[in-house]
Amino acid sequence: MAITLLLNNAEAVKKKVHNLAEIIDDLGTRLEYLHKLSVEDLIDFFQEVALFWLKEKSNSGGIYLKNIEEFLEKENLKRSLGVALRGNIRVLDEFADLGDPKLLFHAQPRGLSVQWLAGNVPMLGLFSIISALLTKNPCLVKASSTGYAELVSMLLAFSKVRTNKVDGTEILKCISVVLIDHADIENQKIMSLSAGTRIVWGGREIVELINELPKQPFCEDVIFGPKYSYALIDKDSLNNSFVKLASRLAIDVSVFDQYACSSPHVVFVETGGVKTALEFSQELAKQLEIVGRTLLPKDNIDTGKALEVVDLRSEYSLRGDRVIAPEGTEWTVVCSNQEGLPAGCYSRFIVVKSIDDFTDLKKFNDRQKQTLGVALTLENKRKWLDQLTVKGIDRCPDLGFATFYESPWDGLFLFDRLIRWVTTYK
Amino acid sequence: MLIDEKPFSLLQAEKDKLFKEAIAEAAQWHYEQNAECRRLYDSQDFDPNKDFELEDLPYFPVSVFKKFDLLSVPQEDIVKTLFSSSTTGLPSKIFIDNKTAEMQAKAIRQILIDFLGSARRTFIIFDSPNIVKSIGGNLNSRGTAIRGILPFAREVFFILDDDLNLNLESLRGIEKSLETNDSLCFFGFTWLLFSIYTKNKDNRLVREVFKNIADREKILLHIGGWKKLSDVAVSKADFNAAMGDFLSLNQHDVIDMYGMTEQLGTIYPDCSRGYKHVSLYSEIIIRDPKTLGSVVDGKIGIIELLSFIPHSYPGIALLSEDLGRVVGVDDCLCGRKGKYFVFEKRSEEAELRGCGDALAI
Repeated sequence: MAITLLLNNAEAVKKKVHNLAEIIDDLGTRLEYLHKLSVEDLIDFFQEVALFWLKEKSNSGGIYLKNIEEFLEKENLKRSLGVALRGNIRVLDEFADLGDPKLLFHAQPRGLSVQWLAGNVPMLGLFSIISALLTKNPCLVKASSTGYAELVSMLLAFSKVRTNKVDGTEILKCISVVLIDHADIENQKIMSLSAGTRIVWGGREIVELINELPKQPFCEDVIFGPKYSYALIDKDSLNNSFVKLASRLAIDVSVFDQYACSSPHVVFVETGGVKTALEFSQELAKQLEIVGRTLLPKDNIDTGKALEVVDLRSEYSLRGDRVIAPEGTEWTVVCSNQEGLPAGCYSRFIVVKSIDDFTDLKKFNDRQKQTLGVALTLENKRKWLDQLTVKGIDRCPDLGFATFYESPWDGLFLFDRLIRWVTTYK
Repeated sequence: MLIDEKPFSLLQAEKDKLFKEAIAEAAQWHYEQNAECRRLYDSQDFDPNKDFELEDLPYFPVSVFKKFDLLSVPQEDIVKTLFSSSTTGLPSKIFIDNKTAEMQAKAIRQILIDFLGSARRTFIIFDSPNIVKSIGGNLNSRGTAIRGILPFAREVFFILDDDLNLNLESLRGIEKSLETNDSLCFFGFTWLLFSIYTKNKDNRLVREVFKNIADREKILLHIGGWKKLSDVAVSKADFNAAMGDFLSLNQHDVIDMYGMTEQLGTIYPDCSRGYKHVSLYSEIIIRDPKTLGSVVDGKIGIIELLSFIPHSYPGIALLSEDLGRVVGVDDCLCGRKGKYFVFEKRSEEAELRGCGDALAI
């Protein structure tokens, strides 16, 4: 089957090709180029890319741009890389001392980073692509058939940025982006076998598919998704910041329309405060309306999803739960007494539940739970987050930041997974 | 009462007032008698006792009948329970009392008379005879539909066996017993008809029988939706051509009937111009997927069907899973009055899945 080549050799092409091997070979030669650059040079370059996107006020990045810019800010990148790489980013350039009495350490690239990006949040792929480049790995990216145009447009900006040490066009040559039919197992196998690391963003189906593909014995797999997220508010926080918390949660629900693994589908509100779960639901409804009108307007909804929303609203309503929604399908808040965690409906559909005892949440938390967005007092964070995350939950950001990419993600330091540690004696 | 009127006899403006009165009465009944309906109306601050526009009447999505047993009469009044065909999981469960059954029968009879005429026909049914047998008062959707058309039959022949394969012996028996001036009506479910066609299109003996009985006035009525056929990329035109060829029919005599088990009685056969007409017993609203408000005529949206007929269950306003568009009002060249529309397709499943489906693992 033919592959659609979208980006290769620093050019947007969009043409059918049959020979993936040639592209893979070309990318292999880029390893040497990346190896010659220092990590400081790369950090400087990506900060300039972020500034370029900001200057261009790129619409392509949309709502994700702010998160990307913050991530690529020079000091943040240095900090994130440093934390992930045992405290010294120079390990990416040379053998460095990490405090071991006998050994010096050098982080070498694992080689071609093959990445399968998801349709639900295609722009998240930018984080893994940039992470691979910062750790000096070229990238072969299988884009999603939805959203690939935005991704390619963002990547093309690399070629318009040049720093003292780095020519963006040369960096862009280290990335190839392709579209491959889901059923084209042969070409997916070729991709998989060429990988030093395989990074998969997406739902259950794609993760299972990639797991079935053959790979090199020392290839490192990084799976982002499929995961479920929710939120928790204690009564003191609710009493102190009722409107602010509703507003922040409305943002978490509206960014990515809940299609990200980190998007909350349900929020637990502690009982015993001045405000009830129903009052919070009503305020959340107001805030969702405001966010949708001013900050994050909703795209058109497909009919299948609209029917799912209407079905679920009716179902909750018939079970006696309070459904708060506009006349259309823009957003939905349900104040529910049903047991358990509701399956995600997406499309700005959030369930609010009251909770007496946070211990009840422990039974929900396994490895499929990713983000617990929290509004907890410091005391409650100390008291609860340790025990709530024993069996699952990878991050507990404050409300309003649930969907912001950060390192580590999904319980792992991606930078660390993209390199292999080489040692020598002092 | 509207149910006593001929189905396409009033202009839309004449119908509107009468239909609104009938649906308001039905809404008041269900609000009083059905707790779930009351919850739905209350949740939308809708008072059925106040004047309202049809568009404002709260509707149930058809899927709720898969998950809830919804009754507006005591259980002991239920005379039969209908089960919808389920292409995706659970079937809908519809509880029917005598009053609903009578009105359904009346509606379907009057609509079919309008299309077929009142003279009885010989029905050749592409199904097994056992499909119309009710088991413990339960009847599936195919059995229900077939029972609905039986009053129009002078004689009935079932030509499939229990494994839904063509019974050649039954087919040959028809050939022998038909009178020369019999009017024929072939009847079956769309997907089943196409399956029989696919299996037998090259069977010389089968084609011979259909050819031999072809010299009579005849039509093909089919019902049951297009989902299974659209999954294998068979269009309405493909289907009509295939069946026309297989049964030696004029393609214009292949009539698709739209309708749903959840609102049985109000059916929508194609007219000679290829449109579906809304009778006096029901109404259609096309809704925009995003705003859920009604759209202008001609624009495609989700089909909502309203009917005052359901008495034993709150199915008077149902949001279907189908897409369609209103073509016009009162001016179809076939001569029928009222709104007419086309069914476009069954709604696809939601295009995008997110990571939150992790709970389904």
